[in-house]
Amino acid sequence: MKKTILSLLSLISLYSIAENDAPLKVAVASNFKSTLEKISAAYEKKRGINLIISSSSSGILFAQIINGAPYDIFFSADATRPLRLEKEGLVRQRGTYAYGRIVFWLKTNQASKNSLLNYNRSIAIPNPELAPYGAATIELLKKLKINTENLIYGSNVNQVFSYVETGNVSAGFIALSQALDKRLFAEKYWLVPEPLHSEIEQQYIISKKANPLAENFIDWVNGSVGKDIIQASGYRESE
Amino acid sequence: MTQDDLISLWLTVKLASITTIWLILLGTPIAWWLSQTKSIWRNIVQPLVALPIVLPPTVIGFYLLIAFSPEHFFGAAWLNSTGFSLAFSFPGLVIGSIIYSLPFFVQPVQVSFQSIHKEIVETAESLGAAPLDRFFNLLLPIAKKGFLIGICLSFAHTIGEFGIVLMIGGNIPNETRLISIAIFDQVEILNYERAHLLSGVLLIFSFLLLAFLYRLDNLWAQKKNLSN
Repeated sequence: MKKTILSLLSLISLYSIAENDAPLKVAVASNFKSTLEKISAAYEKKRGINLIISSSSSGILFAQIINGAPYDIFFSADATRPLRLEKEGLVRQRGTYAYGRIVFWLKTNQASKNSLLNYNRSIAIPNPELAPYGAATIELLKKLKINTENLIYGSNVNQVFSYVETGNVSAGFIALSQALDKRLFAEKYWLVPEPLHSEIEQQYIISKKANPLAENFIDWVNGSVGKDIIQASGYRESE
Repeated sequence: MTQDDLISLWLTVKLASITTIWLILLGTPIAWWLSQTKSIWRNIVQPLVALPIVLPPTVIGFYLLIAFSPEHFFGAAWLNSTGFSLAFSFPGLVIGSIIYSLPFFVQPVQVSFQSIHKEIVETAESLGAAPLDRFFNLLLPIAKKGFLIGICLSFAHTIGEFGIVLMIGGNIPNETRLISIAIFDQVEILNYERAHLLSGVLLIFSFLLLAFLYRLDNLWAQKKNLSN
């Protein structure tokens, strides 16, 4: 009996040794996933550390973390949720990694500020209650005095993309990162100037009990390689 | 509960009711045909009807989103004949729900049709009962248990619909924002109190519905034992 317990204990300690080289578990908001994959591919190659990336909406990931999901790092699509996690005492480090940009995507015509002002059919936007990109879009529409009654809500930018892509709606607001990632024709979308809406600040957190390598990866994201990829992917990098 | 929640709740009940009525109308002939036919088509129709049990709702939602698009045949034909598009509309959800809940109606009804002895039907026929008369006054009473189970299950299953609505709904208040979507939203915006309330309502409702079904089933079983 004693032997069994001892060998079990040694198994556990073996496991905790292995834990140090364990892969980094990263949760990422869906809009930043493909960008993060590019950044992590370069990191994995250089440092030989594996990342396990899970993506979902920020709200779902938040709910998972608050209920004990073992993520080392969480890249949120907003700044509110990381702050809430910090207040819950679950955070070792918090910071901004990128600012999102929104574009007006018109599938049938050339997109511009004027084509938006003259557009009178339904427009798909991310649900402003759920998605920071949606909240910024509503601000913009109000500023331009555009009727907000004819809106169709997707739960996030990806869903808006599929609504427009499948042709169920012919215009929508999506993230610049998607427009670049999906290689949309430049004349089909209009990049909304940032002064027309408040900043879409995207923050990360390193969780309290995270793998010690987490800070190292964040340095990489905020370093020159990370910043270049972030900018090329359609975000404004953090200062 | 807020006004928005009540609207979502009412919309959900409305969708489930309309879907169930459509299923009674469309599902009954299918169930009858499946219970009687020996045609080889049965080998195709039966798995088709059962598919929604197996398929993730996202698959159905994805195909519907493509089918509803005015860029494709079905969506274009619909838009031309009705003047409105199916995606992000209540009628679109009804179509999605009919497909989604079809097996939950057809299967119990089919089983109860199959349990009817051929001789009874033949006797009625030889006594001169017309087909409609036979259906309403003979088959329906015998198959009533299957119908009741089918109606309750398809109603409950439609109440629980989420994946398809998420993909073809567009989250429009009083049109496509069902209770399951409202709960998802509340969780997303960290409003756990309202999520709890709405989830609790659904939990109790579903429990009561199933308890009612099982109770009825037991009662029938007792009755049958007594009459034997």
